[in-house]
Amino acid sequence: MRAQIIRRRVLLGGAVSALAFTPSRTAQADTPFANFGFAATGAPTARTMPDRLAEVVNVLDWGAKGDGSTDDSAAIQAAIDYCLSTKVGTGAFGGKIFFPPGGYKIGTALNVGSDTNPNARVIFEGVGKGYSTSIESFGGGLSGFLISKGNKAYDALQGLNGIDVINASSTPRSGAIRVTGTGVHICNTALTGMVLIDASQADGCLISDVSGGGTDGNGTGPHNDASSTYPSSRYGVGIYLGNNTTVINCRLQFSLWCAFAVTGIGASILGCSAEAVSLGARFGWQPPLGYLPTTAQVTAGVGNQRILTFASVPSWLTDALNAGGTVIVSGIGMPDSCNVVSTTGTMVTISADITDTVPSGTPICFTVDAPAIGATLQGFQTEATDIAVEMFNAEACLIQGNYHHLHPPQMQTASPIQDAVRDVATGIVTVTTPWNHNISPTTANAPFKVAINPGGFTSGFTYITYKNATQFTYGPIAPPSGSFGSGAWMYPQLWGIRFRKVSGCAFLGNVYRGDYGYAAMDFDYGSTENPSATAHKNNFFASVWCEVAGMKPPTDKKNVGGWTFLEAGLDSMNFANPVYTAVTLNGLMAYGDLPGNGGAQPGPIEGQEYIINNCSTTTFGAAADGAGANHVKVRHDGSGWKVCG
Amino acid sequence: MTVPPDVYFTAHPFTASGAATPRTMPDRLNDIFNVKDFGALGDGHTDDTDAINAAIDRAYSGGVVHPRNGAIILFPPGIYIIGKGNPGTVNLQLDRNPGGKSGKTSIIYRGCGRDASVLRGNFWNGNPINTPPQSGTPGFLLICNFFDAQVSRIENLGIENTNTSSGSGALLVQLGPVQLINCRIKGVIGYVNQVLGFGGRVANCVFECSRPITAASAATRSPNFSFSNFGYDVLQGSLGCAVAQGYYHGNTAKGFDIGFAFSGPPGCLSSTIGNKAIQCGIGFGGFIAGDTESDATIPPPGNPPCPPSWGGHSFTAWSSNWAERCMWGIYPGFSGSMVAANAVTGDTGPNIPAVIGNITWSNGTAIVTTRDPHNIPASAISGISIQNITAGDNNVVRIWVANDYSGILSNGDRVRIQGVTGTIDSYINAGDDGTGLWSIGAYNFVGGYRWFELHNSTFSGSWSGGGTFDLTTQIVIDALPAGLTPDGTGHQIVACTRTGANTFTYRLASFPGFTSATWNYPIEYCMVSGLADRMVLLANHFDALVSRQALELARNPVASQVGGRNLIAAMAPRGGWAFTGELSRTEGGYTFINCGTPGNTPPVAIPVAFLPPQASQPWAPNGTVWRPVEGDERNVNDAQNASFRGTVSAGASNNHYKVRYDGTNWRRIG
Repeated sequence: MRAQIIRRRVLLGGAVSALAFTPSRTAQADTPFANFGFAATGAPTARTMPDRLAEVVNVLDWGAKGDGSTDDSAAIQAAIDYCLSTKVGTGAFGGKIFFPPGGYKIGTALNVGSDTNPNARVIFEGVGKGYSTSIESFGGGLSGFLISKGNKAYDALQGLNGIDVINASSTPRSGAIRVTGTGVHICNTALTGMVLIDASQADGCLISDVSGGGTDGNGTGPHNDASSTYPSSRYGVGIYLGNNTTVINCRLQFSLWCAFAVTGIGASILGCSAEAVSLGARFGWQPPLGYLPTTAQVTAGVGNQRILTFASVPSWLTDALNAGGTVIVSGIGMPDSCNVVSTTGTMVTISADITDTVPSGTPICFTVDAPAIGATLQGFQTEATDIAVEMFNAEACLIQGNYHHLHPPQMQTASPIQDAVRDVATGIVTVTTPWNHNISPTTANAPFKVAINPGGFTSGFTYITYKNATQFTYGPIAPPSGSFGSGAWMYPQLWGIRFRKVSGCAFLGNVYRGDYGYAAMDFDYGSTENPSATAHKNNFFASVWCEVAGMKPPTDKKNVGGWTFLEAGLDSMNFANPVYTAVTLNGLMAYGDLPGNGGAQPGPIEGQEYIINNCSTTTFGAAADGAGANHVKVRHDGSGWKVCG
Repeated sequence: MTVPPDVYFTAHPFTASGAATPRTMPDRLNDIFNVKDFGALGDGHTDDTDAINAAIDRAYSGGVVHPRNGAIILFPPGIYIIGKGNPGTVNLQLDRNPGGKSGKTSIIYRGCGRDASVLRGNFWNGNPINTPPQSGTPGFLLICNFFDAQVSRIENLGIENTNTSSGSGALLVQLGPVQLINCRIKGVIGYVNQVLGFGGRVANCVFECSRPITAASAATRSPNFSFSNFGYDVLQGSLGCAVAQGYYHGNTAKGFDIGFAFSGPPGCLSSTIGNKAIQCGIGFGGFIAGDTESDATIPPPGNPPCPPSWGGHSFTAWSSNWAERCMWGIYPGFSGSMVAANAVTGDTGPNIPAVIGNITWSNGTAIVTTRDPHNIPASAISGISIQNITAGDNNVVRIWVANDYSGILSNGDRVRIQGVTGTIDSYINAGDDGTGLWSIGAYNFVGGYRWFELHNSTFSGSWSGGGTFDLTTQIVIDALPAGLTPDGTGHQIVACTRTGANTFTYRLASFPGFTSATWNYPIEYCMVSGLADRMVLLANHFDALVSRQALELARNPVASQVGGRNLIAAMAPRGGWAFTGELSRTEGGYTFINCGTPGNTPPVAIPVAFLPPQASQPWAPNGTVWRPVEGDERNVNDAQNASFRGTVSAGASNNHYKVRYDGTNWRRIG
């Protein structure tokens, strides 16, 4: 191009003179234009316009329309492939791909990868999050991820900034973006998909300023499981965090089973929030291996074990088992804590009793049980989640400075009602919602929060029953009767935080709430179905507060030794009818549960201190003065356990 | 008819579709300064220094709206050479002295991806920034050092100084806050920011050492790592990233002596979350880069203690960082730190033991016998690195090491066999003196705690004698098949098969140079602290290898340095705990909560004489006193010598008690 630069310059009087040229002459200027080098104001070097425009690849230059209707897949893919295969200078591949404002419809998923260039990288750049620039699937969406390396050897996505990615599919294992590279930066985007970002296999990614919601019908609460396409699917996940994934200032809402799922080492979630999803954050959960529909009713196995039958048992399951891993089984009616014991032919033996709850045809989800290690959760807020946080399988995590709302601060704007009418004869209130409420048809006498104004119908917790798609009932309540047109209802948070396998974790300065029938802190998660899967060691609680409901202590008191409480306990606010009333784990352990005496906690180690509840039955002799319940504090002095208070 | 193109394209104002104001194309192109408009080619071989300087000059010369100066300087994809053919003479000043200008300046350097837009040079002028007085330009490829001429952001750029001289570096910021985002920085020293009080941010960057990791060095750490290579001033060695004060998150540093460190004087703060250090000598160090107040060295094992001035330095808040395959994972060293939820591992997964008892080689399959049960699952594993050594033709090499890694070598030394040629048919019991020559007898195989490694070695002669050692473990390396030549690179196991609790076999992806003595990356310590003062250590995952120390507290403090008010909670480091040096006194400054490691316990009990404050102990260094306050509780181990009231109770066979300070005295409470 440079050789063709036309050096001739014409001095003109200015803009007025220039405008004197008529448009009819423009076409004739086209040829010299494309080859005409000229300098930017103040700069010395003449360059042609095509050369300038090639520096940042603009998808419109490659034929994309961005009109919200044309399939732009091929055009965008061509732009990507050009970037990844064109060597600039003598070594660098890749570059920046610019998406001017528009809606880019995608009929075929984009492969941002290369088979030949491990160092080729592209950055997608749009002009901002939320409706300005978007890459969208058609209609029912695409299987797989809209943006991923696809079947290429090397993942070439280095960043995505300011482009919304929307995959309408609600098929398992589909979603918006999947990254597997190192140091990928995804920011300023609003995402939609069954999975928003899968960074579980990536390394050191930064995800910031992302908002989004899911397409998992299961995601708005536990009460609609039965009506969901993929009940308890464990597929609708906002962001899967892998090794050193840092997620900052992201807000995920609606139609997700879980907003943040953490695996790998060194992930962190900072200043994020989750709203109206089943589960705010789960530590120790990676993308499922896959899912299978059962082909027969569950049958009994040895003891509590049960046998699932499938059309076939795929290699991904047997491979995972052969690798020595534990494979978690989950799905509707199934506790997460049961795992595959063995496979024989088309049958899979699992470790829990689920006979009554898993009919033939139920989709079963299989996931490798792997810990999240060294993760940080800080400044995390949840609203209207069923469960705020789950320590499913966690080691050395720091959970601090988090707050979990029982309900949105502004209930009226969150879930309004259209009408509420109290029947005079029965005292039952029928609530009409302005749109489908998504409450499961099977819901009967389930805990909800309802606030009706004016008149003091009910403001607070009650128990509601499904009536139809836009109505539910509660009561009976006392008069007045009549119709009241304003108020709000909402799903309550059930569990504040649950602990399954958790070791070496610290919890500082958090508030957890549980609702009627549930616990603010559940230290017994999974133990009923699979006692061997629960293990608590070396954990520290300080300045943690739970309210409304109390704690569900571990069934196996050996696990109590895994916790030290410092200024952590229960507030008795609204403590009228809780199921779980424990306010602390202190004193729940007997002498025989101490480290070295049968407890699960490592030790005994000099300086370890615990509060036990059976002083008089131990070697310590009589109970201390005034210790009516024989509760004493004991300390190990290097040679034995001694009473110290 | 030919229309003069100049009319249409350079002097003709026209409006953008839908916009109101006509502007000429050259004016539009002036909105962002594109280095190619200033003559840069980015072709990977032409020297673009002058062109880039022209763009920077223009950005600082008032070409933009008055009175503010500044610009976005754009680097389209390409490799931009700085100072071609003149290593040591040409580097790039990213800012300009604003002189008498009243308006401040803000510049953004913007690339199109850290691999697509690369500034590359080979610069070393012999001026390390840590040598006072600073003489001339520091030996960095890119420098910012004017206060009012802010380079506010550098993003999506690759910055490479390919020079490998000690002291040379890629990017130096001496004044003005900078955000460094999505960049790849390569150099012996990657990035140093000496700005105090302004913060700045380093996010999602990749730091690579320009001294390549070789097969010989990949086993454990960066190629030239040695405690004597760097000292109190870490810039003597290779360094990934050092920021005086600011916020780092999501960065990766690979192959440096120190991955991440400090660059400021006492009192600097940082928040460091989610970073990763791979194959570094020390992953995360509370060291000081460019500090000239002392020539004292970081105390290597067995060396003199830390200088007193360390006490003022802060590691501050570090969480969710991961040191993988580093010799020392974390060295906070200083005061006022929170070290929480970090991971230090020997390899990408936890619980992979490392000690090999025996490797034999047969027809491309290595049979490895581990000393301890290896926990390898029944099916394939991958990603374990077997390092290469070179064996002479038909050699049989037997290397005997002690049976217990808690008992190898004296404190501070390690067996390192490197660069030796010839044949050995006996056994080796020697270390490396750094030159590849054997130094025999200087090491004692009993009573220390270091590891054993083999690096690119062939052997000659026969050896015996020298020191004492306990021989139960051997590594046997059989002859290479005829006609095959070691290729000098490391290898990855692509699949291995468990054959027993203590054995596995594997095949290599390609024919190897040979096998080695380690099959995993050893860690010496997951964390070492010198003086620990007001440190919170919470919920870290420390996965040291079998029989090495996961956590060493209070390394070599002196009497004038007494740390206190340290809290350690929710930790069970695999590999256990160790206190060294003035351990008894410093132990008095720790409270442990729910920490436990079977068989290797936190040393919590101290002599009564070390309860603070004691007149016989120098508890008041530098005018400060760590005094007990009411409610302080400690465990003591010699209660019968106690001066506090009461006698030892019956049955207290070891006189270990808990005491509490009641505002006046220490009292026994249990």
